[in-house]
Parts: sequence; C-alpha cells; structure tokens
Amino acid sequence: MILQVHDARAGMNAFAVPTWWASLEDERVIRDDDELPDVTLVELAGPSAGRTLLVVGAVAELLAEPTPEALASWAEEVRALHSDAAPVHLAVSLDEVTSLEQLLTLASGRRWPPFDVRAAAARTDADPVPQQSVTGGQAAARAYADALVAQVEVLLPPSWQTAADGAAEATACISRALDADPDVSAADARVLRDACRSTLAELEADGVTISGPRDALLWPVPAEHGQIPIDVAADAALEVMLGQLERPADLAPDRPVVVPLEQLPARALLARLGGRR
Amino acid sequence: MTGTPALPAGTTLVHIGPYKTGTTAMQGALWEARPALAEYGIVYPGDAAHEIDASMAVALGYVYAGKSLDVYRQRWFDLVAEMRAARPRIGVLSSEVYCEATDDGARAVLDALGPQTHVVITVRPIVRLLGSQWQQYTQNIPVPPYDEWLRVILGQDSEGGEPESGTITPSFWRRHRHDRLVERWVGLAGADRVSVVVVDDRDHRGLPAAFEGLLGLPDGLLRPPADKTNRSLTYPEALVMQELVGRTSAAPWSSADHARFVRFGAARGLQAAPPDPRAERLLTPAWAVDRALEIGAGMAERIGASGARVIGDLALLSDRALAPAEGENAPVGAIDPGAAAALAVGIISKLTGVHPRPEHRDLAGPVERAAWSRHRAVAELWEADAARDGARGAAAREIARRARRRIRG
Repeated sequence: MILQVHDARAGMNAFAVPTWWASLEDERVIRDDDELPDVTLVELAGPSAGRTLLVVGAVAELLAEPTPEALASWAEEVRALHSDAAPVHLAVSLDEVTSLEQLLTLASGRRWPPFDVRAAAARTDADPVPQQSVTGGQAAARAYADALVAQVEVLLPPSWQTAADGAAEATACISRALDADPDVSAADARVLRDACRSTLAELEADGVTISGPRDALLWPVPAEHGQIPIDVAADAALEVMLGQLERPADLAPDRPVVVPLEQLPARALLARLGGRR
Repeated sequence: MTGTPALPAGTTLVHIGPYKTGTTAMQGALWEARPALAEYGIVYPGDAAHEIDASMAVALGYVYAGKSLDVYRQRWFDLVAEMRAARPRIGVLSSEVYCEATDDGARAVLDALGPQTHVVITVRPIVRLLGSQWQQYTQNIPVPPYDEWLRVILGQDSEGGEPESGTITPSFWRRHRHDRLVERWVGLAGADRVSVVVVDDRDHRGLPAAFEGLLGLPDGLLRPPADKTNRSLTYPEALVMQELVGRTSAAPWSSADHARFVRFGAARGLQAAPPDPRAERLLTPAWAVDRALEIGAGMAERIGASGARVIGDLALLSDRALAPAEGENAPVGAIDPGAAAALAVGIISKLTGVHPRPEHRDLAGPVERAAWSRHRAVAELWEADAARDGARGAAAREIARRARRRIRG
C-alpha cells in the first residue's frame, strides 16, 4: 500500500522538499513525476496506507492572514487533495519532521516521540511531577500550570509518565491557546477560533482524519481578565486524553500473559478452561 | 423527629432515595458508624458506603459501561446474604438507584428482602432540586443551558397540569415525582411498610435523627461525613463540564472512556478542588421558583393521601423560605485557572489509576487501553529487570561458592 505525501505547500508538509527525500536514501520512498507530479509515495503497511498525509503545524503558519476568508481558503486547499481513494490525514506536529520513522509514526496517527518505556520505568509514583513551562507573559497559563502540578496525583507506581505527559499536554494546550501577543482584537480572535473549530468539524465530517494536538489548529485567544476561556479549558482536558490515545506503548503481541487467578474474572476463567482465548 | 418509633426487630430497612435527597450523606453516616451500629444489632453490609453497581444491576438491569451485569447482580445477592448471615436486629440497604427500579427490579428487591422489608423514601422540595440536578446532568450527558432546561422541565405539563417526563432528561421526573414514587412503593409494599422522611436543609441533624429513630439508635450516633467531593459546582464550573461532556458524549469517544475519565474523572476533579469564591452560584429564575413551589404543594397533597407514614413536615415542599438563590446568571465565558486545571487533574488522576494488570479490562475504552498499555509496559520492564537482577545475584553467589571451594581444596 502507498502513502501519498504532497510537496510542501501553504504551510503544510514543510519538510517535503526534494533534498529531504533524497537524504533518506530509503527504498520505500518512490517518486514518479510523470505519474504523480508534486507527490512522493511511501510504501507501508497498516491502516494509514492509501491516505494523503498532510503534516501541519500551528494555525498561524497555515493562514495567509488571520481572517475567516484565509481559513476558508486553506480548508478548500485541503479539500482539493481529499478523495475517497486517498483521503486526507491531517497530522498536527509542532516539531519539524526530521526522519522517515517520525513521518511514519505521524502517518499512523500517533505522536512523536513515541512512548519511551525505558524512560518511563526510570520513574515511580514517588517522583514529583515536574513544573511546567509556559510562554512568557502568560499569567493565566502560569496560574493554570502551577495549580495543575499542585493538584495532580500519581495513583499507581508505573503511571508517573502518564501524569507527567498529561500535565505537559494540558499546559502546552493552554499555553498555545492563550495569545500573549495578539495580532488581532480579542473579538476577532474569538470569531476566528470558533470558525477554526467549525472548519475542523466540517473537514472531519467530510472524512478527513485529524491526529496530534489538533487544538493547535484553533486560533489563539487572549485570557479574559486572568481567566481561561471555557472552550480552552475543555480543549486542555481533552488533550490529556488524546495524548494518551496517540502515544500508547507497544506490547509484544506474543508476550507471555500470566494472569494471577485472583485477577481473572470468572467468565474469562471458564472460557480458558474451555480452551477458548 | 426524635419521637420516631423504631422499626420492629427483624426488619430490613431499604432506603431508595431518590437522588439529591441526602442519600450520599446518609450512606456515609451509616458506613462510618458500622462498628457502633453492630453494637445495636444494625448491619449495613458491603465494601463501600454505596454499592451502586450492585444496586443498579438488580434494580435497573444494567451497569455502567465497562462493568459486568452478571458480576454485580451476584454482588447484590451476596450483600443480602452477608446481611442475613449476621442475623441483625435491623438490616439496612441504601441506594438512590432503587427509586428508578424497573417493575422487575423493584419486585426482585422486595422478594429477596422478604415481607419484613420497610421502604424509606427521603423527599426534598423540588425547588431545591432543580439546580443541583441540572448540575448533575451537566456532568453526565449533554443538556441545554439551565434556563432553557427549566422551561422544558417545568413546562412539560400533561393535560391535568402535572409535570411529566419528556425527551430531555426524562429521568428528572422519573426520579422526582416524589408523590408518584411514594404511591408506587405503597402499591408494591403496602402503606404500613413505607415511610417518607421530609428533608429540611436548614436542619442538618434532621435526616440522621429520622434514621436514628427508625433504627432505634441513640441521638447523635449517625454523623454524615463532611463530603467535599460532592459539592455543588459554581456556574462557570457547570458550564465547562457542559462543554466537555458535549464533546465527549458521542463518537469517536467511547461511553466507557466518557464515564471513567469525564463523568468520574473531570467532574470529580472540579469537586475535589475548593470553589473559586469569586465565581457566581447557579441562580434560579423567579418564575421557575414559583412553578416549582406550586408543583411541590401538589406533591405534598398526594403524599399525605398515600397512607405512608410521614416523618417531618410536608408543608416544606412548597415553602418559599427554602427556595434557592433567585435570579438569572450573567453570561460567563471564562473560568478561574485553578478550576480549569482541576478539570484536567481529574482526568489525569483517573488515568494514573489504570491498573497494569496482565490484560486490560474487556470493556475498557480506547483511552483506558492506551493508558493500560503504558503502565503494563513499565510493569513488565520492572519485572524483567527484577528477574535479571535475581539471576545475576544467583550467578554471582554460585561463582563465589566455587571460588571458596577452590581456595579450600
């Protein structure tokens, strides 16, 4: 199966230039300008195959100007690449794509870097969740981050990384959403954020897949007298769950599973005794 | 209420709520007093103050997503057996879930508990339930704004002018037609086996005192614990829950993940944090207060006529002095950073509680499965490291043993 990666355009797939592809020297990368100009094909297996991948950063990098018209223009550009045969996958990544492995991870709907079990295992519930950094000048985001770290608990020993990731993702979302140096008025920013949200919902309804920290595709708004806008607070809470969902651990499929009897539900036990798994 | 005559020995008292009538407080009081209750021959069985899953399984015929109906149905019968085995003077079960019991569920409860069952129903003025019940809905399911919801709930009159369930939050009147609830259980159990306790929110000893009377306990033995996890939400907190629930109640979010991480995660996170003192409380418009008091008066009349024993003053159900803060909330678009953080903290805390058992729960949602995979991977790495360290230690001991032999030999 084939993943289609269009050349860099309008803030999307910024990495996808001929020199970058050439530097990979990977036989899975195919280029046929006669057949598909401006598109690089990558052979891969799995559900992400057959899609058109667009790696995008923050919304400000995508819009020519901060207006609903520019947003509509960007959405039209995405729609123009979307088809039943090769539906678009918008993979939000705020880091530069630097390797094929990273690209394929994003194409699979996961986040980069992937879950590092060795690093996670180096910590336990006894370790404090680290303080979170926010962009300078964001008093509300600073208050949010401090309150979050003060309240968060690690309930089970192996879950420290989950708490740390959740705290980091929620705080980063708030920091992205609260504009300390706005280009537009608060009212215009609010209109634009709402329009972005509607546009993403419409794209998804059309069959476009979105992964990664999708709140980055919403135009930032200023804090309201030191308080967090309601929709932004909900975005940050959702981002905690999305971060988990898109950064799971890969357990070996053939790993031995020894289930202590006391942890085994009676129904599953009966099924196993009957020879069914 | 201290003059309430005690129920006879051999009775099983089953408290059926309904919701928002002090059930959590009473369950907490009974739970914390279990050793003292035993001295008076009272048994309150179970492993928690409220065995809600077991109660749901038997009364409603379903359990929350991710849980096993069969397991919790059996759990309920085990609770009854535990209670019987202790041969108490009076056994007590309490769950607001029973107020919504299906006909089969109600019959199953009464049949299992036997003819000496006494049903206790706690009632509060409808006017005091509107705000708290709307807030509860905002934590569970998508609901309209408060004013709009009130117009639907209080305007859904049948031809006879009585409030009826509609399509929006139909459980409200299913739970809070307290008059019909009393009539139903009088019909099922008999008027002499039903007591109605009218809760007066101004008297914090009133409800425990009524239970002390029914159970033949000394004054002051039942003390509801201070429950900071069940506090009312501020108006901005309710709005942020409404926003979050609205976004996670449908695909691609699973109901199991929604229940675990939003309903019992984010909402609990908000309630666990102290409320922002500057945040506005939820206000109930005057027209809604008037209508709710009118409905309360009608309910009081029917409860009084039901034949059930009434403990307390039914006139409270239409007493304007008990009405909540009147008014209309100004539009709110933002929330205190601490409360916004508490929302996320509730989810994070629930995530960190996902157990690294060898296999994830069968009915776990995608988010829970992802968290489980991470925790399981860490646990397996720790186990592998411990096994390797153990093997290294054994090898080192063997080498040392052989070295000692060579030196000696």
